[in-house]
Amino acid sequence: MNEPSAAFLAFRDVHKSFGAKQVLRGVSLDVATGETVVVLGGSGSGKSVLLRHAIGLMRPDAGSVVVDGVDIARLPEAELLETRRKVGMLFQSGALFDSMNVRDNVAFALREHTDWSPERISVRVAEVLGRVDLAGTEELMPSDLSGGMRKRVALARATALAPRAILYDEPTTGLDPVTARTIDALIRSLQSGLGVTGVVVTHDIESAFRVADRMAFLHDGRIEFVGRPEDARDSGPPLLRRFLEEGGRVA
Amino acid sequence: MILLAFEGTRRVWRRPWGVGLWTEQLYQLGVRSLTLANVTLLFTGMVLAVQTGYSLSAYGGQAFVGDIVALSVVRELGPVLTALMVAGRVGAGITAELGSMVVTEQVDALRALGTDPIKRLVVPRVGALIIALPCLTVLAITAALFGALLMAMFDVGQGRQYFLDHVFGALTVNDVVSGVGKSVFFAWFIGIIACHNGLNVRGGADGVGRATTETVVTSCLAVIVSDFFLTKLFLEVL
Repeated sequence: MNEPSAAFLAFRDVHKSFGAKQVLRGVSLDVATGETVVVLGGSGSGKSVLLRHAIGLMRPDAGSVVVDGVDIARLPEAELLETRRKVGMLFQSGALFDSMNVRDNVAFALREHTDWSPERISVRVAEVLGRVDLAGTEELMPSDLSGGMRKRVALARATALAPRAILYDEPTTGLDPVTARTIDALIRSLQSGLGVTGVVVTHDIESAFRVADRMAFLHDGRIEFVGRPEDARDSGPPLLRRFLEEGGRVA
Repeated sequence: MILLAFEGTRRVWRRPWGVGLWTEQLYQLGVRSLTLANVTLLFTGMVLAVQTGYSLSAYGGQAFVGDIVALSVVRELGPVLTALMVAGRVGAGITAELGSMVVTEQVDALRALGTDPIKRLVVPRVGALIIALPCLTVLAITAALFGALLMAMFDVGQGRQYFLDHVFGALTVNDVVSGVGKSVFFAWFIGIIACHNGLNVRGGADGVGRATTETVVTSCLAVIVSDFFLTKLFLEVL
């Protein structure tokens, strides 16, 4: 079902339960084309669950998820392919295919969904690996990579098909501050250089302030606040301000 | 599990065929099981010949060692023991591999990259197993008959040609079709059970361990129980 939408990605009254546990209880959030929205919230608040709805990895019990004008909430799996080519995802663990080397991981979607020649695919792989400062690592296996390198290879893989939006699930969690800054810079450069829309789910307050155009605060299954980062800090709901302060790294 | 079998069967006919994936799985599931299956059946054939020779000697019926070994190995022991060995090695391996991919989000990553996990992961594994297990069964039966031949010659005291005449005299085409035909069904059961348990792992390493154990137990039981019904079926049909 097509719906006119100014936003590239829109969650409309999304509900999701697992057994008796209601995780999302009417989430509504619009993400405009080319902006980066950071979704904050406590552990178990449903941030990652929300993110997974944006690419059809989970389906809402009620409500709709509109991606580039198409409601994907009830689309059959086979019809989600077009949406998944437009939207990349960076998983929390990187989720690299551990039986493949870096080249095959990054080239995976290109081989599956394009009729490009092997030479053209190699050029594209080198280009996206260069963008994440990992040129020359094509032959390494995921087990040879550090946590930060895995995240960057995963980011290269997510961008190989030149998606219009990327979903970032805890992109800096478990990384040292220098590597975290590198990842944040990559997120910003993808947005400013290629106009990629971003949704970032994170606990890292410092990182959130570095990448966010807008912030959303998910609490008790609903979006309690959406606005600019400075508004979140200065005039957001008390719980959000406490959450940001207890992040401890906000200037 | 039935749904997975149905969805997998539908996807076999869809492009891309994934020839490389099938070839890789044929090697991993079939070629790498050769030693296990052949050694198991070689010694089973040897034991069977010794035991049969010993038991029949009380009645002066040692001439029939070849007949009895051939029929029991080709119709029952060959397909069933090979399937049980494969259920242990291959079934456990498939579940552990797919389960690890689930808990490390690799299956979600496949979906996020627009790839169907059933087409990519299940179809080549089950398909390769359906091709590999009957081939393994034929080779393992050959190993068992060779083991039995050795014992018939050196333990029971029969001549090589005498033993082989009894083996081939006892067997009909229907016996071979029944034995090898059953292994096709066993392969399908093992593959679907292993893939289903792997793709439905919950939790971490603990969940992978539980699913792997469950695959071995369930697929072994499926082989043993279905063997009875398949035997009855083939006896009726052939």
